[in-house]
Amino acid sequence: MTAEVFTARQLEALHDHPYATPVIAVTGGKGGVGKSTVAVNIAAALAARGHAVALVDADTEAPNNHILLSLPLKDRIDVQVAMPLVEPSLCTHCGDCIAACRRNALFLPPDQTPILMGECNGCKACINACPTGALLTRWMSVGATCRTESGNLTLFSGALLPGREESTIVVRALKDRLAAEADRFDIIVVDTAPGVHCTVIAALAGAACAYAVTEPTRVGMHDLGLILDLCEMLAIPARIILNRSNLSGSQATIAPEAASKDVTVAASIPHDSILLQSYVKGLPVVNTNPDSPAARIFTDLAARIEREWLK
Amino acid sequence: MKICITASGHGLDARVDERFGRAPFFVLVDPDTMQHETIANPAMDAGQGAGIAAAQSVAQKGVNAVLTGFVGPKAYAALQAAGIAIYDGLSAGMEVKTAVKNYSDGLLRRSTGAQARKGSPVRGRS
Repeated sequence: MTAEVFTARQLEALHDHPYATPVIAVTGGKGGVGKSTVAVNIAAALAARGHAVALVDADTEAPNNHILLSLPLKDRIDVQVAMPLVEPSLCTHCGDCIAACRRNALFLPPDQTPILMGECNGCKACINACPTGALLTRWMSVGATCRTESGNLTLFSGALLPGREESTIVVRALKDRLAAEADRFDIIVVDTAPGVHCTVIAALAGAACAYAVTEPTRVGMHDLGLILDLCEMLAIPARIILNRSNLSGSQATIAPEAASKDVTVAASIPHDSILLQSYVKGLPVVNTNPDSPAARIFTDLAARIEREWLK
Repeated sequence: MKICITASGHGLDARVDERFGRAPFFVLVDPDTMQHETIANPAMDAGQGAGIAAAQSVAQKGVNAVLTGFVGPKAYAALQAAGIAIYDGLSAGMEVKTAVKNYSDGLLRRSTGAQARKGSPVRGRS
């Protein structure tokens, strides 16, 4: 399945960003495969090698890179969306706002003023369509972004409020916040949500390459296929990171899957009690046990990223 | 007096469509004269907010009462805001003219609440 969903112009617009700093994405389709573990360790290894690293936790529905780094979440900024607020004295009951709403969220009872009844996504079409300025903008919080500096590493973390559906808007706000100072970083590492939907697409936007983390299980292989398809649609070169690689499972299927998608396996990380302990402790294994086998794998990955993108 | 019956076709011989927001047609009838017109429901294929948009259409036509099978929560709120009476519980096989006659004979009961029959959660955020 390699349907051309996006046109060249759409891809150009999607990947456009106002800075030259290279962006590496860590993704993977399936949840719980170790995306965040890989992301924090790559970021920490790059930081330890002297680079200014921005780590972007774009898994806004369950952000937890700060936990894996034992960092507090600082400098919280609300992410808000616009909702229409009616000023009755200015409303002429013309219905232009009703016609403008693509989600049919507004209702205009005869001779009354519009009522917001449906699912508003904050597009402001109604506010812009109102000829008399009777629709004012009311801001509603849907989530927040945070920014925490720790040595060479700066964590940008986005969180959606539980029950809201604007996760993509929070991802975009997070990336906008990063963009404002992206030029001062040597490299940007983006940790995406699981899945292959809008928030993951927003997180992958602008990435020079994507590491797709998976595990050798049938579920892992299935979801890897989905994320590799998405990367192909988005024209992002992908590489596989096989986590828990010694788990007895579907190792035999990974080579054909990789070959069919023309991607390589960049690293295999065997199950490792030292890595697990670092995860439980909430510190990157590259910092706690830099000589352990898992840490060496992450450091090698960081060195490879350095060679490719930091020359 | 103008009443609206949700229908799968045109005119008084059409069959009732049980849905409100996604009914293909609305037959608008004056029960005293039986004069009628049929309008297409522009919200039938709406991605979102079909109930609200359908209520908007009938409200703009000056309808006083809606006769249908069931009304979802948002459409219910919209119709109530417009002061339009709701009579639900019609079944799909019935002809529009029979529904009108039942209404005129006082056989229909006013709805007591929204009936989102097919599990659409209430997610308004006004």
